[in-house]
Amino acid sequence: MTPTEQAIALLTAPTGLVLIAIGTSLGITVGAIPGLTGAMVIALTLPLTYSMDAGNAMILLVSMYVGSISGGLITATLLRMPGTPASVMTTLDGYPMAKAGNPGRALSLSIMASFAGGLVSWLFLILLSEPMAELSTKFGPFEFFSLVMMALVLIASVGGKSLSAAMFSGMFGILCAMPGVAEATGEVRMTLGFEDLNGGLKLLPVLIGLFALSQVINDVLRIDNSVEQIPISNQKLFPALADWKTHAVNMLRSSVIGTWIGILPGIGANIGSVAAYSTARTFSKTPEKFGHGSEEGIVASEAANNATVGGALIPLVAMGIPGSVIDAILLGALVLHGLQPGPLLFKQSPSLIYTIMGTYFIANFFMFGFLVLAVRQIARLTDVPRAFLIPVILTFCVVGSYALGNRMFDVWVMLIFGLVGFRMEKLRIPLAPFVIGFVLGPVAEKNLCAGLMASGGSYLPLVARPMSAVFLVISFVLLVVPQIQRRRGAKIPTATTS
Amino acid sequence: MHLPSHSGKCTGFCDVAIEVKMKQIFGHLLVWGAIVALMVASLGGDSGSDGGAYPARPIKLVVPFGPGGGSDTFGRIIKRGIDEAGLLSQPFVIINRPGGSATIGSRYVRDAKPDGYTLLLLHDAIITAKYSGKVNYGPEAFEPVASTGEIGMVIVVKDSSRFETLTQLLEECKEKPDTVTNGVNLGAPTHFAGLQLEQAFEGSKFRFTQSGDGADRVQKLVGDHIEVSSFSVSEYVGFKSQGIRAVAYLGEERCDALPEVPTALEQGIDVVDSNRHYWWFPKGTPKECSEYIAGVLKKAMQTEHVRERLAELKMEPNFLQGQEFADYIDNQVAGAQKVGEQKKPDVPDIPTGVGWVLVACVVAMIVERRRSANVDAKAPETSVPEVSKASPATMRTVGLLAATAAYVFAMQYGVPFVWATLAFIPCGGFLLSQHKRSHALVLVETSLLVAFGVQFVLTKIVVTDLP
Repeated sequence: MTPTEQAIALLTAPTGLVLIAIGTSLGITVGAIPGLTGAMVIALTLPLTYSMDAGNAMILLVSMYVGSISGGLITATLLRMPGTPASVMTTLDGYPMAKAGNPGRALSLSIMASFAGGLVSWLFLILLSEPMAELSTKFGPFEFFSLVMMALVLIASVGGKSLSAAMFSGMFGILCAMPGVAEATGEVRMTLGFEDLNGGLKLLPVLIGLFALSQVINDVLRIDNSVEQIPISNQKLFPALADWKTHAVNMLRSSVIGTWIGILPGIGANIGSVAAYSTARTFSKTPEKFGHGSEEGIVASEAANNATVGGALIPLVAMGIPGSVIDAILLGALVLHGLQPGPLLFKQSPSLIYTIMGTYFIANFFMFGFLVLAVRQIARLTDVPRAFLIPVILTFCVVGSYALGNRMFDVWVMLIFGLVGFRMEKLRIPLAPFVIGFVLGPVAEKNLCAGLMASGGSYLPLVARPMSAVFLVISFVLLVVPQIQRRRGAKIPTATTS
Repeated sequence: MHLPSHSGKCTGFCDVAIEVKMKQIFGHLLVWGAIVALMVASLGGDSGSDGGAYPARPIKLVVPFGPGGGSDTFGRIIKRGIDEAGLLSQPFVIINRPGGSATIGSRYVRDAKPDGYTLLLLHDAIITAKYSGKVNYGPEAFEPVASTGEIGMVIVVKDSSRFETLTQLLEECKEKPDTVTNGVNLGAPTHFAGLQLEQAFEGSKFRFTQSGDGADRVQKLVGDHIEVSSFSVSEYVGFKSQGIRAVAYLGEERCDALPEVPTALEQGIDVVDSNRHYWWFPKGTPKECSEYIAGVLKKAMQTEHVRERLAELKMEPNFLQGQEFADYIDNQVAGAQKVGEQKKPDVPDIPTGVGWVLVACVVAMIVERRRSANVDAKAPETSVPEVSKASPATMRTVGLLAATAAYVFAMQYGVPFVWATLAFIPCGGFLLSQHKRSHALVLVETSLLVAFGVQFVLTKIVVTDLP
C-alpha cells in the first residue's frame, strides 16, 4: 500500500470516521462554551490518545482543533462572548445582527465562511508542505537556529501590544524549559536539588496549568456574571447559493490572509481574523456598516480564523515548528507517539502526514454538517452551570497531568503553572510567547550547540551560510521596524487577546 | 440553569411541566445505569487471586522511555509474547516513565519496593549514564534478571564520502585530530562506540557533535553537517535508501542482514560493541523472583510472535541470565571505565544568557508601564475586572484551589483516586453553587460518573497506575 492509500484506509475506516465525528463535535461544543478553549481540551485529551496508534491520535486531535476554532462563532453571535479568543472579531458584527432579529442569518454566514476558510487553507496545506519540507532538509543546525530565532522574534514583535511583555513571556518560557538534562551536552542542570526535575518540566502539565487551570480560576472569579442568550428561532441555517456567490471574493481573500498568518510561527488565529477583518473593511463598499452587523465583517473574521488552522499545520508537518499553542500540543503528541517532528517526517511517516491532511479536509465537512444541523442543541449546552463543570475540569486537569509520567510531581507543576498563568494574564503578559519559547527554546539551544560543536566553536557560519543569514536579517528587521513605527506614532494593527 | 423558555402559553403548560419532570427522572435513571455499569467494569476482574505463590499481583514493567521508541517497542513485543502464550498468571503492565536520559525511570525502580513486582527494562544506558556523570549509580544498584535481544551497531558515512574503510577513517582522525565530525548522542551508547574506536586506534580523535536520535543523525549525515555516525543495524536498514553507507559492523562476525559490511575486527580494529536490552529488579529482590521472571522471558523469546518481530527489527534473539549475564555486565562496565569520564563539551552557557535577557525584559517592561501609566492614567482598565480582596468570588476561588491542593495531597499520600474524586467533586461543586441543596444529587452523580469513568478508561483501556 502506498502511504496515500494507507492514510485513506485509516480515515475511511469506521474508527477513523467515528474519531473525526467525536473530535469535531467535542471541539465545537468546547469552543462554544466560553471559558473552555481548544488548547485546554486538546491538552486534556492528549493523555487519552496514549494507547491509540499515532494515526488515530492525530485524527482525533486535528478534528478537535478544527471544531474548537469553529465552535466559538456560536457564542460570539448569540452571547457576544468569544467562545474562543479566535472569534473576538465575530462578536463585533455577529452579535448586532443577531440582536436585530437575524441570529439564523448571522450563524449561517459564519458557518459558510468557516467552511470556506478551512477548505482554502487545506489547499495551501497540501500544496506547500512538501516543498517546504524538501527545502528544510537542506537546513543544518545553524539554519535551524536562525529559523527558530526568527519564529521567536516574530511572536514577540507582532503578537501583542507590548514588545517587552511579549519578550519577557518568551524568555521566561525558554528559561522554564532549561532544567533537566541539557539537550546539547547531556548534563543535568538547574534542578535545584529536586531529582524529579532531572527530566525537566514536561510540556503537558505546563500547558494544562497555563491554559486550563488559569482559565478555571478566571471563570470562578466571574461565576456570577450571567449573560442572556439570544434564542434562535427556526431560521434556515444552510447557506443559500446566493450567499456563496456574494461573498466569494471576500471569503477567498480572508482565507488567504488567514492561511499566511497561520503559517507564520507563533501567531494565532485571533490575529489572522483581525487582519482579515480590517482588510475586508478597507475593500468594502459599505465600511460604515462594520461593527453594526456587517455581513462582510462576519465572513472575513470566520473565514480567516478557520484558515489559520490549515496555515499553522504547514510549518508543523514540514519543519516541526509549531505555528500556534495548539500546534505546540500537536507537536507534543507526535513526540509522545515516538515520531520525530521535522523535515524528515515526510520521508519517515508520509502516511501520517497524509492522515493529518486528510483529517483536516474531512473534519471541515463534519464541522459544517454539525453546525448546520445541531447549532441549536450546542447553543443550549453552553448553558451548563459552571458549578458542575469546573470541578470536573479540575479533576481532568489533575488526571491529565498525572497520566503521562505517572507521577504526582507533574500535578504540582500543573498547579503552580496555573497560578503563574493567572498572574501573567493579570499583569497583561501574553501567554502564547511563553509556550512558543518553552517549545522552541530547547530546539534553538540544541541546534546552536550542535552547530558550534561541528564548527569547533566558531559563530561565523551563522552569518556566512546564506539561508541562516537571511533568517537573521529578517528577524532583525521584524524586531526593529515595528519599534521605529511605534516611536513615530504610526498606527500598527494590534490585537487584543482577552 | 436557563432551560429554553417553554413558558408563555397557558394552555399545555402543565403538560410541558410533566413532560420535563419525566424527562428528568429518565435522565437520572440513565445516569445511574451508566454509573453501575462503569463501577462493575472498572472493579471487575481485579479481585486479587493471592494464594501466596509468586506472582500474586500484576507485574509492572517500567520503560524509562516514551511510547514508540526502541525500548518501548521491544517491551511491548515481549509483553505480547507473554500474554499470547499465557506465561504469567498475572497481568504484565507496561508503564512509561520517560525523561532525563532514562534516569527518571531507572531511579524510580531503584527506589521501588524490592518485592518482585517492579521490573525495569533498560539497555546499556544504565552503564553510560553513570560513567558520563548523569547519575551516581550504575548496574550495581540493581538485581540483574536477564538480557534479551542483541542489536548490532554499524559505523556509517554518507554514500559519496571519501572514506571507504574504517581504517582509512581512523587514519585521518589520527593525522588531523579533532576535524572529522562524528554525530552522536553525548553520554549515550553511540558516543561510547566512537570513544571505543578512538581507544582502539592510538592517537585518533573525532570531533563529537551532539546530533540527537537516529532520524536526526541521518538528516545531518546526508546534508553534510556531520561526516560519521553510528547506528543500530535496524536503524541502518531503515535509513539506507536515503544515501548512507556502513563502513564497519561492530560484531564478532559479519551480520546476517548485512553480509557485505566487514566487521571492525576484520579491518584490524579491536572493537566489538552491541546494544542489548537488560531486565532489572530493585536491589534486594528475592532470587526466586529474578529466576522466575528470567524463565518467563526465556520462554517469551521463543514464542512465534517475538521471533517474527525480532527478525523484522534485525535483532538477534540472544538470551543471557544468571552468572553469564552478570559477567557480561562486568565486561561492559570495564569497557566504559576504560573509556573513562569525558571532558564536558565546550558550549555557551545558555541559561545564564537567557536569565540576563529576562532581567532586561523586566526592566523594559517596568519602564514602559510607568511611562504609559503617566500618559493615559485615565484610560479604563480593559482586562479582567479587578475583584476586591475579600469578595465572595475571591474567597470561593481560594477555597476551590485549596480543595484542589488537598485533593492532590490526599492522593500523593495514598488515598485511592476514586475515593478522593468522590469527595472532591461534590465539595468543589457545593462551594461554587453557593451551597444549593438542589444541586447535591447531580453533583454526587457527576462525581460517581467521573471517578469510575476515569478509573475505567485509565486502568482498563490505557493502563496506567492511578494513585
